[in-house]
Amino acid sequence: MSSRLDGSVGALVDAVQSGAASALDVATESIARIRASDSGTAGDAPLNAFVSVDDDVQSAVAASSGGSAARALAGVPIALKDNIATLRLRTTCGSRILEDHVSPFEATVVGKLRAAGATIIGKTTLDEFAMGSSTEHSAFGPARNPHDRDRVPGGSSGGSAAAVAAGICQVALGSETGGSVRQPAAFCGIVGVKPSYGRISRYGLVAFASSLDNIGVFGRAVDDAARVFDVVSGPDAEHDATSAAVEPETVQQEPGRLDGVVLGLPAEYFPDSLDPAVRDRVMRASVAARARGAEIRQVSLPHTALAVPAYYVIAPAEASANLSRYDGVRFGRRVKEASARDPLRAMYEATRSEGFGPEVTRRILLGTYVLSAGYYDAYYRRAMAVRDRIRADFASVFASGVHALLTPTTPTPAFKFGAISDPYEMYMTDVFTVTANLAELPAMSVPTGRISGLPVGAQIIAPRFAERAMFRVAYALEAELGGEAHTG
Amino acid sequence: MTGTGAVTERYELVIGLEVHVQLSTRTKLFCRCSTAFGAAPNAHTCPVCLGMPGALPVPNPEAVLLATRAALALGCEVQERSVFARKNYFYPDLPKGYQISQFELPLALRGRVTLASGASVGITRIHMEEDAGKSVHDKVPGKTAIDLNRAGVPLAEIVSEPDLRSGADAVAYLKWLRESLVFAGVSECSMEEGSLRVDANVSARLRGETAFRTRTEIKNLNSFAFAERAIALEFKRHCAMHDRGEPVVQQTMLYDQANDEVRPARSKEESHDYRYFPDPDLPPIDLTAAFIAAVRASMPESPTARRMRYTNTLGVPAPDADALTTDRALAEYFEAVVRAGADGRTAANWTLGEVQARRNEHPGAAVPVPAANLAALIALVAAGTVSNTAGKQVFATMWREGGVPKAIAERDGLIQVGDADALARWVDEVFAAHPDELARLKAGERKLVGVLVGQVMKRSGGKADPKKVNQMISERAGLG
Amino acid sequence: MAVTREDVKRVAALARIRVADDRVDALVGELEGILGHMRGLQGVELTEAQAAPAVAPLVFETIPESPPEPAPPREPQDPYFVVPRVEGLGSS
Repeated sequence: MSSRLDGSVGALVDAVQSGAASALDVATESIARIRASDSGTAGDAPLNAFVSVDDDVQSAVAASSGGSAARALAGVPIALKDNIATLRLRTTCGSRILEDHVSPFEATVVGKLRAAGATIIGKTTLDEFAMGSSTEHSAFGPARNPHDRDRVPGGSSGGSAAAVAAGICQVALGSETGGSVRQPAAFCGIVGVKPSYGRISRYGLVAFASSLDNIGVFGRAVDDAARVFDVVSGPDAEHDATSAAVEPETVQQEPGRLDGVVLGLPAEYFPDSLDPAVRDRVMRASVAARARGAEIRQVSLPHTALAVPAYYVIAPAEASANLSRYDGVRFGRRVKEASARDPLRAMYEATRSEGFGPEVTRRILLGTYVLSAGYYDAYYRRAMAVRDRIRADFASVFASGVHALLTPTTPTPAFKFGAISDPYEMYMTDVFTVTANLAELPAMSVPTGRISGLPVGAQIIAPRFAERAMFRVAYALEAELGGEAHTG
Repeated sequence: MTGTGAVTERYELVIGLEVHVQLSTRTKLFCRCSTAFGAAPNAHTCPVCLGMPGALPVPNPEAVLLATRAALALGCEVQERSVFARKNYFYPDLPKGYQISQFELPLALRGRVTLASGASVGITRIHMEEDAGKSVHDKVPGKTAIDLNRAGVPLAEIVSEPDLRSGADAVAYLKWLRESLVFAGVSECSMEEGSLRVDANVSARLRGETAFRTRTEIKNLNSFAFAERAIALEFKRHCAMHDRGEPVVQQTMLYDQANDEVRPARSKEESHDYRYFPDPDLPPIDLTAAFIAAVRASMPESPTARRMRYTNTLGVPAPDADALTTDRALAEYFEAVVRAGADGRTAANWTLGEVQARRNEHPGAAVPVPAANLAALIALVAAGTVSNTAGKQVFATMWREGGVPKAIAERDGLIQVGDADALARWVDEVFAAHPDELARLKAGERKLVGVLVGQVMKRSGGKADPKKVNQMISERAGLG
Repeated sequence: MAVTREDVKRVAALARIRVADDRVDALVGELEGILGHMRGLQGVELTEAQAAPAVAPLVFETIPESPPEPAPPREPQDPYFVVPRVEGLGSS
């Protein structure tokens, strides 16, 4: 059955604005598709893309001020990663410790989406507190990859990516600290956008690592993501001191040529060890860019190899402090313990040990370790120095006349559940994405073909606040690749 | 050599002070909640100061301004860049599990003050930080109740060098600090309301020793007198331990007022490891030279500088200068009187006498008598147009009803009579009425001049010029 | 610099996370496995530029305008947050 949900966001908005479609009908269908995706009727394992679904569709639509008015996202159903604060639905962060937590305030992006007429249909599955690359660390079960339900959808925003890829909705919000939007977008064959740090307000995004966290956008197509990006980006000085003061340029545009654009291929992102099939699919994008008039240039980002180690010092360090507020005192789960010489300490330890899963625990311990007396200089301070080098690498490449970089998003397509058990091996799946987080750069993943039916993503990285230029490349690649983006 | 006198002769007391003052902002450091004192528990809280998931801190510019004023008032070097950092520890009245403070890059560094005793005390640093909440132990039986109204209230922490060598100097330093900050409008500095809190680091070493010995920290001293007492007790304890050859353990102590003793706070199972790191939610604070200059220009003159000016150029006696500079409003009134033409010493007398007496009766009220009118009254008294006594009457009337002094004096018949004929008539009448006293005066009992002047004043209804009367009586009695 | 059992216990205590005795060795291995890869950072020199702010600083050029009105007080349902009894010191 063909439906408004199977077309573009632009077409849906036009239909709602002209009265040809109703926001309520579209949202109702979207929620029906969630139910179907979890029913297992097709012999599939449940998709489990959602932690919470807004079953009161009428109220969900009414909560958006512009269902039928001439608004940018009128009637567009949207899914939010469950670490973005909402008033109508709980915000669990995929954690037992926040299982029943309903936020007393909503994220800036949620207010913007509602004002633009979008309908928030539900909250999606994630790795606990966004720490993971597969959603296997969700306390409420992992989401599955719609292309192969035995495989992970990627993470940590895997539920949002799966929901879009499965056709439940055209767009969704995720968040990323080291690639948690781009990697699942690549694994699920959709578009995933990480903004420049400061471009989209973090107010209401539950913090993992504040200097690396970003809210990101998923779309089935580039234009879908662009329309949502234009709604949710912009300054928010009143609520987020790290928000950038400058109004962004509109990223939504017509696909065009790339004459005069120089795209860099950084050698470090195409190591000899890279799977030749992945290299081949990414080169497809390079060829497409050239066909549209872009110049392709080989470049080097020499400190890339230190990015994952630096990231896995800085992110856990910040996380160890950000997650101290989960102490059972004011909100969230509290585990009482009768015993104890020191009943307060016992309450803290019982609450946190039972509330956090193993990956979150590991990262809190790691972060506490690298900040603790005697280790700060060896780890945290050095990692910050590396972060500076990585920023400088990018700055020098962009200063040499390169407008954007083209790389693989991930070293491999989606892997099977349980395939990676070593934590560091799992961390290495972020090897091509953490750099943009460390350097605060905008980056996005666009589909660039398949390997044995599994999607592969190409990553575009642009200078800070050059989102419009980045989208220009993405629009051109999508138009040039056409069906090739979704075939082997 | 076991007496305490002997001990303190051999040992030297070393004190460093850490003072927290609450910056007098209307809202908290990182959210818009009120800082008002005395509200219902947790009434002044929001997602930010409760540390709710997803909430973010946004700095309050007013707090940065007041902290800058504090730094300038205390003669410190304001830093072009300062950075907020997280100080990590768990405590139920600390909502986020970390306190936002400043660590490697504080707001200000390096100040110095010379106390009246001659002691020179360095200020190491001043930084901004948020306050924690309050743990209440008597509200719920067997439990601790948490009130987070104070959580996020802006503080400046002022850390001194270990330069203080006596409890008296410590108190003098604290008084200077309080006076300077109140004067600069930075803080109320009320120990009762907790807007000034003192921790003292205390150690003892043999006189002549150059290295410091192990210190202990006495927390939450809630009056200057208790601070001095607690320091004295702790010094004694250290000296005794050194004499016995026992090691002093670095630990946190509390002063128990009820029992007048210093004892260890509940010992922590682990040593502190606060894991400070720059707060990634907050941008660096950059204070431009233009900003610092503007703040400096807006600063009132410091009490110390004022005191110097009052004594050196206005001729005010030192004790009066001290008294005037305890209170910025009083000092400014005094200066306005001087600007309106009054002599400094006399203006100080009136300000500390008549003005201050009435302000004490009406605390907080503005002085209703314009400074120019007091200056005019002082001129009338100086010219002998009204007597000093009548002048006080005129001042009382001005305070009560307003009006200018000359008109009041005329209306109320308080203009002094200096005319020789009129005075002679009253003197004749008094001599006639008191022949005995006159005879004794003539015989050399000089103190009777005053008695007879008093009688003349009485007869004149206070209008006679007492100086001239005095002179006339002395002459007529043949005393020259 | 190898991670020890004591490190794990110390860090867990600081983080208020209870680690069962039989988990300590496993965590030593996991943390060591991760931190071993981080030792490459040791070769990096610390420079002046380190920790350059990614976020635009909050610049004060003039004395700020009069501050905003405080938010109105709220009426909490349960006035206090109640926790197991704490003895001794307040924080700070």
